[in-house]
Amino acid sequence: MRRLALLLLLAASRMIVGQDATARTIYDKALAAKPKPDKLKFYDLDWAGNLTQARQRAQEEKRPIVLLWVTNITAGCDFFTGHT
Amino acid sequence: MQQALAPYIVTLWNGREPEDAPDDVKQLLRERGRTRDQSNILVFVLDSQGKYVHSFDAMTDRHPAPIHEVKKRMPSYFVQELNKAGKELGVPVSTSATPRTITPCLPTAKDPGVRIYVTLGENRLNHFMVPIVEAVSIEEKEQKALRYSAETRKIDASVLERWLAQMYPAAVMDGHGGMNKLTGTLTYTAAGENETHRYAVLRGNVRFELDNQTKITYQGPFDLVLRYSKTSDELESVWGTMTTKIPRADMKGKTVEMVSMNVAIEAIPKAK
Repeated sequence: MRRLALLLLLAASRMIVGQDATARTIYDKALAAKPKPDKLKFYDLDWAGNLTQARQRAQEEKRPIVLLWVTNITAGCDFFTGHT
Repeated sequence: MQQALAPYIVTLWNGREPEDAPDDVKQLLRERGRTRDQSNILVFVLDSQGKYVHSFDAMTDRHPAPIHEVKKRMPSYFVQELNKAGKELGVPVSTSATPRTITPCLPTAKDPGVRIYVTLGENRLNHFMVPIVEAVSIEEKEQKALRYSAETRKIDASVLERWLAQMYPAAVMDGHGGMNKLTGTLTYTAAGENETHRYAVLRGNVRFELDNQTKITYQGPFDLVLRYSKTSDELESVWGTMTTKIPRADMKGKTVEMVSMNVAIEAIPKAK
């Protein structure tokens, strides 16, 4: 079963990135480095870009709002991307 | 926590000083009233009319517990406080999340772009639990540099500066989220074809220097595989990685650990 899965994976990566071994290796590494869906659940929240947009949608959808308020003296943090 | 937030539209404001906030956010802070021990993370709950209902300090029960204890308690405290507001609003206390994944996108979904995922490894303070996700457009400069060619050529890493500039960790406290220097030479090589497409790889070592006070530097291999149709030399799709180790310093600026950083790059599928 495991061998079959490996063969299918190899066939799929050949279809996507061709026969070149280096290209296949990079493609496989990129897929492995991409976070799994359970690590990205934070991005599954129903985000609005700012409070104005959130208020507009809240009225239309009759739903409440949560605003996260964060300050950092040395560097701001964008919770939406995770970066400063 | 995600489940408790599922009934809500979630938004955020972040900045260096409370005074930087727009008026509508400042008004919420006035309604809450500033408390002496206020931390830097507050949570506001508003009803569907946008009116203030409840607020709490995400780290309010921090005293006298050490920070690692507070961090352990934060999720349950967050849910407990959110449920308090939920009762007042008539929001179900527990509900199954309906994912509406809007992983950072480009302003216009029709623009070509890449999504960059930055994942940090285990570290002493248990930081970086959530991967960073950035969306960056592919602009003319990058398109031109990455056009298909059967000839091997060298490309300066600075051509891909807008992508590479996203490859840094969060919480660089003394930084501004930018780079002082990005250097490296990448080698572009054709990498065969199949029935439908042609391929190339772009590989090289890139050195990064952050704009923070201690000028954190790191370097690592950057590898891309590029896909083209058989009828056009314009880049059609891309996948790639960058791997490195980031030095982390203590309060005195002494490096106390090296944290692995893995980056995945993938093309954002074009909207039809």
